[in-house]
Amino acid sequence: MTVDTADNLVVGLGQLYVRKAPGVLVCLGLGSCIALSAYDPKSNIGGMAHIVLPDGTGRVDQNSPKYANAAVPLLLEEMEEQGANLSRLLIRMAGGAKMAGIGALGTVFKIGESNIEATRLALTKAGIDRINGADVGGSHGRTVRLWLETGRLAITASNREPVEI
Amino acid sequence: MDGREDCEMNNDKEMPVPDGAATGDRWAQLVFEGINSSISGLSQMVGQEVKVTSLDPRQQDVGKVHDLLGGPETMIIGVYLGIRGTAPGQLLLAFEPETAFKLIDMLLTQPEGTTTEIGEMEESVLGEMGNIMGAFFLTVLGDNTAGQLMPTPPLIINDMAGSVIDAILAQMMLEADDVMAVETKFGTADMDIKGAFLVLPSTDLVNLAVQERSAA
Repeated sequence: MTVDTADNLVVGLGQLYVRKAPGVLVCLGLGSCIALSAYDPKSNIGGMAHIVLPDGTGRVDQNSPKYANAAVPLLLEEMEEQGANLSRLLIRMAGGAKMAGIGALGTVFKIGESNIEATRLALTKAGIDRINGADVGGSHGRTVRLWLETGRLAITASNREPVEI
Repeated sequence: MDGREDCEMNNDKEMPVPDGAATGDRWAQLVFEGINSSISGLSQMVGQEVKVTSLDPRQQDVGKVHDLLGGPETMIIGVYLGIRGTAPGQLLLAFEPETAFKLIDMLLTQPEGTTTEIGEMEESVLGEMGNIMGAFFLTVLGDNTAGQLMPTPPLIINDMAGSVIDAILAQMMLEADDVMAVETKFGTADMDIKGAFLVLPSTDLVNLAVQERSAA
């Protein structure tokens, strides 16, 4: 994680970060990657994972948060450890675009779709049966910001107006 | 796309000497030769002399490659080519939009400033440029290895730098934590073009190139 302003904490490729307000967690320029956000509105604890790949099972670094199947339990554990109540969590996700929208290159541009599916599956496996907001798919880049004081989650994109989920 | 000034050679327009040659980094040497060859292919395409003015190689942490493109939210126009054949890899030519517009004007031999957006024709021009540059680059790699290497059809992507490269880098992150990225500046006598030429090889491709070069 890096800090690009006094308030913005940038969650880089394959990173996961959890903290209590104040501050803003940011995933910049997501394409096929997923920004998975968890937020406890009572304790103002929020977390964000920048997921890159769907599944790392069997790999040396299989417990890295760059994999959806590892990022979900890691995010929930860290949230709980810092004092969040899992039953109150707002779970939101954004990203998973199919960049360029061309399938001729096979798996390279299908990663977004796989990341979405793997993240949903991992949440279900972790006992999270709800996703409170999602802005996924499409073929455009996104920047995702989570304001820890309010839980506001905004998504800006290159080719459309900002949205909040 | 901030470059390292100490590596630039903007005055004499001679062929840059790669650091890789001095350090014995055969892969870096091949990449340099390939990029210089791809620029000569571009020169043939436009029918005028195009020279490399600087090549700035960096072994870059995968998570920070977008910094070479101005940061993850910087809008870029990318020409993407997959490498197919004996060993896979990926190539990405990335430009700031204004630079890509200048390049298109040069390729279409029209006054600078004519192109202001990317439409079907402009994509086609950039794609053809990618084809030529990719083919020349891979010819160098192929000639120095026993491999058969071919480019896939080019993709033109116009979006935030982070979003353009994260799917590409995702593949890389399965194999390595860093990649070789080369910031390249080239141009004609009266026009400088600054872009990033990212060479993203698989481990198999690097091994193939290094082993064959060592045995040669």
